[in-house]
This record gives sequence, structure tokens and C-alpha cells, in this order.
Amino acid sequence: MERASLLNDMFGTVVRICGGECRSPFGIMPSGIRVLSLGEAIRSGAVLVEAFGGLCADAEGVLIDIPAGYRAEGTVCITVEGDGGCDVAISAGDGSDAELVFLFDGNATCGRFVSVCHGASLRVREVFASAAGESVAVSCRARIDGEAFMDTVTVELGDGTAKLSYATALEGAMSKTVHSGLFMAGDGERKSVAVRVEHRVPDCHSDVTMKGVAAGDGFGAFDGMLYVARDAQHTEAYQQSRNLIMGGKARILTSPQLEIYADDVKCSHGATVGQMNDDAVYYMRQRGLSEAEARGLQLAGFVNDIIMRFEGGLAQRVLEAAEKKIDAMQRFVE
Amino acid sequence: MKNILTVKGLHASIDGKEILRGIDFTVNAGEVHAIMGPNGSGKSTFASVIAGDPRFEVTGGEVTYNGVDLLAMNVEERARAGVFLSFQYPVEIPGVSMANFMKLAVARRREYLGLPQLSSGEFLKMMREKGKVVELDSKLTGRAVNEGFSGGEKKKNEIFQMAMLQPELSILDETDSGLDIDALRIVATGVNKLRTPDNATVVITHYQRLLDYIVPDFVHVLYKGQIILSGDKSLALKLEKEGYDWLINQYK
Repeated sequence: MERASLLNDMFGTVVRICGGECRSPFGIMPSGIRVLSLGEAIRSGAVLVEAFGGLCADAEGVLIDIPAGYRAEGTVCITVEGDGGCDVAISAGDGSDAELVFLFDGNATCGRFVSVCHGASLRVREVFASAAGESVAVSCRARIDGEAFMDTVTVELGDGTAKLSYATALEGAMSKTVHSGLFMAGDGERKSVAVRVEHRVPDCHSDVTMKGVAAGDGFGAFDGMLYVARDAQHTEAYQQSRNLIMGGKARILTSPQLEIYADDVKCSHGATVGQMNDDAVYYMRQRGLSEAEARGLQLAGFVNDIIMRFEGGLAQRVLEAAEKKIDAMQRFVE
Repeated sequence: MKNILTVKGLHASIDGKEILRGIDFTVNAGEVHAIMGPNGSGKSTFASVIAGDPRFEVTGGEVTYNGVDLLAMNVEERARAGVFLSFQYPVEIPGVSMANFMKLAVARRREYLGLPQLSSGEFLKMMREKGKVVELDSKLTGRAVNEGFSGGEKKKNEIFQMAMLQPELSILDETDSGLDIDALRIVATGVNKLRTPDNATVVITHYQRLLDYIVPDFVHVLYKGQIILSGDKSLALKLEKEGYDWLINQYK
């Protein structure tokens, strides 16, 4: 919880969802982004559930409406905490450009439905920081229109259980999605991440990189699927799963998969599961670093390129939280 | 003259196989020693044992460094006390930046020496200055440790780290291997620049060529885990010309 509040301070929460209910007032924020009751928006017809794949007509929660042509003025921060479920729908209007930062904490259950309209650019940054014994489950569905771009960075460094699933459909030509992520399964923790990307039309681009670390008897799983439809020619799609195991009982299962029905595509997938490099640890100790420092530096080196995708001060604070997690995981090596 | 290292009857083995079979070796401040010998004679093992590589087991003998029992110290304690090993095969460490790595290493060394810690500005200035010792491109020091470095750059990087840490005892394990003529000159010149009356260098090499630049006070020949002959720099010239056979035949 200490870690969560640390992140809270920094995020300067704008939308706070607690126990499944939005605790922030609805309305138009100074930046121009509208935060509305999702249920009311659906009932009044202001939102068509069809615009968000998989959104139910009786959904309750929060709608974040980014107007067409909007230009990012800082980030919008959304915290999802406490027990209980809630849906968050995000509409990024035509040609808009925005950044959303999510912090998940506690036993949060959340469905996130994203529609990135024509030519829009949406950056989603999310940190999962549940405490030991807590369980977070998040299911994200996104559809991306032509020439639109969604860039997602996921950092999971909670001490509990996390079950994260993402399904992104590229529905308009020249659309693009990039998803970089990291999960860290310490002793007694279970983390699973599923990422599905569907290329439904030609000329789209996707790139998924997921990194996992497991220590003690921690368990992590990555389930990746790249689907390329029959007509989605000139698809460029990449999927990588990189994993680090610390200690004999830690486990990571990874399954990066491709399902390709088009015949003129550029696709790749790969997975590695490795251990700490003992030669590197010895090398660093020979320069005066303690064994823990050498291992910590190596582990930080493995995770930092994901964390550094957060912008500015955010990267520094997430890095500090990750360092604490790394220290805790170190205790279970050997 | 201040004694830095005294090795007496050192025996060491790996996986039950004895590699060092009784080495006696003394290094005083200001001296340069060269250790030569055929492949498999135990040169790199000797360097690793002095550095404290945990893969090797010391089965006999004693090693005193600046008056204290070196064998009772672990790898990092030796490093902080000023024992530096230039690796024959420097390790690539992806994701770990040279700056972060060296910052910690320098901090630990200064802690040991009781010196105040450097500010970020002072540290970066030191990185720039020491990089010049071996003409190491400042771009390389901004990258991950040895990642994507050429063979020559890796060896330059070893000497750069030596310059940063200012050790009292430097052991250069085949630092000349894989270097072209220019890189060899730069690396050797760098080592010479770092020589002071208070530190000492042990150069392990196969070739006289390196010793043209780093002129040794003593040359030792290691064979089957023992020093079978010691001499001055003329011994290296003789070995270069005549090989090891004459010496090994005498030894038998």
C-alpha cells in the first residue's frame, strides 16, 4: 500500500475509482477531456456500445471522452483501487492526441474498452501495484481506426496476483499498436498476461514486447497471439517474450503464437527464458560491487528499457518503485 | 620498497583438477612483472585466483596483499582494496550502463579509501578525463557495459575502468590478445600512463610485442602451475626467439 500511495502522490489523480464506483465528479475537465457516467451515456444514446467491441448495454462505470482534434495537455490520471468491479470506456476522437495514466491497486476488477478513432494517437501508461494477498484482474479491449495509433506501456510490480488480458483489433488501414510490458512475480506471486492483436485489414503495424521476471516460487505466464486475417496483406507484426528466472523454483510459461491467413506479411515471434549471468555478476564484483548490487544492476538493466518508456518524472518514480520490488525479489535468489 | 603482493606455495584447483602447484611470487610497489608461458600452464588461473574467482579452490599456500591475508577476502573486498583484473574476455552486460556500473564501483572504492563521494558532475568529469587515457569514445561510456563493443574497444574499456578505479595491483590477463597494432599501442600507452611509484602491474602475455611498450622489470615463465624461471626483460626476448622448448627440456 505504501508503494501505491507513493505513486498516487505523483500521479495527482484526476479520476478516482474506488470500490467499483467513480469518486470524482463527472464533467468537463480543465484540459477539455470529458469524464462522464458510462451508464448514463449509454442510456441517453450519447455512446453507442457498438463503438466499443464487447461493451455491454448495461455497463456501469466511467466514460473518458477525448474530443476530436484534442491536443495533449499533460496526462490524465485514473486510479482504480479497492475491491469491486468497474468498466472504463475511452473514446479518443478523430485526430486527437492524449496520454492516460492508470494505477491499479487493491482487488480491482476492471474492464477497459477503448476506441481510437481515425488519425488519433493514444498513449496508455499503466502501473499495477496491488499488495500481497490482493488480486487484480483487468481485461482491455481496443479497436483502432485507420491511421490511428495506440501505444501501451504496462508495468506490473504488485506483490499479489495479477491477471491481465489485452485484445486489440486493428480495423482501419495504416493503424498501429505498440505494447511494451513487464511483470514481476516474486515469491508466492502469480502473474499472467495475455496479449492478442488482430490485424483485420491490410497495411497495419503491431509490435508487442513483454518481459517477465520470476523469483522464489513465483509464477508468470505470457500468452501471446498475433492474428492476421486473410485480406490483411502487408501486415507488419512482431511479438517478443523475454523472461528472466531467479532461483530454481521460479517458473515462467510463455507461448507466443501466430495465426496468419494472409500471404504477403512480415511477422515474427520469439521467446527466451534465461537466468542471471553469473559471469556478469563476477565481473561486476571484481570491480567492487557486492553480489546483491551486481544482481540488482543486472535485473534493473533487464527491466529498465520498459520503465523508461514512461515519460519524465513518472519514469523516475516508477523506477524507484521497481527498485524496491527488485530488492524484495533478490531475497529469494538461491 | 613497499611490498604489495607476496605469494607463497600457492596451490589451486578447479573441479578437483590441480592447476597451480606451488607458486612463489613477490611484487613490490613501482614494479612491472610479466608472466609468460605456453598455453594451459596456469597463467589465467593464477590471475583469477588472485582476483578471487569463486570457481577456483585454493588448496594450499598463502597470499599476502599489503600485509593482510588476501585469501580471506571475497572478490569485491579485494577489488575495493585495489586489486584489479583486466579480463581476457570482458563480459557483455546488456541493459547495464557503463555510467551506472562505474558510479557504483568508484563509490565502493572511495568508501574503502575513506575518500568523500563524488558529485554527479565530478563523476562525469572523471569519466571524460579517464576515457582520454585510452582514447575511448565518450559515446561508448554512455552505452551498456561492453555491449556491441569491438574486441579492441572491450580491452580499451578494461583499461578505462582501471583508470577510474586507480588500483594498487593491476593484473592484465592477455590484454593484448585480439588487438590490432594501433589499439595495442593505445592500450599499452594507457597502462604506462597509469603507472606510479605506489602501484604495480602484472602483465600476462604470450608475446614480447606488448612488452616493447610495457617494459617489465621481471619476466617469469609459468609451466605446469609453477614458475620455472625468472629473469629480466631479456628473458622475454630470448623466449620470443627460441620458444619454450629449451626451457621445458631443462625442467624435465
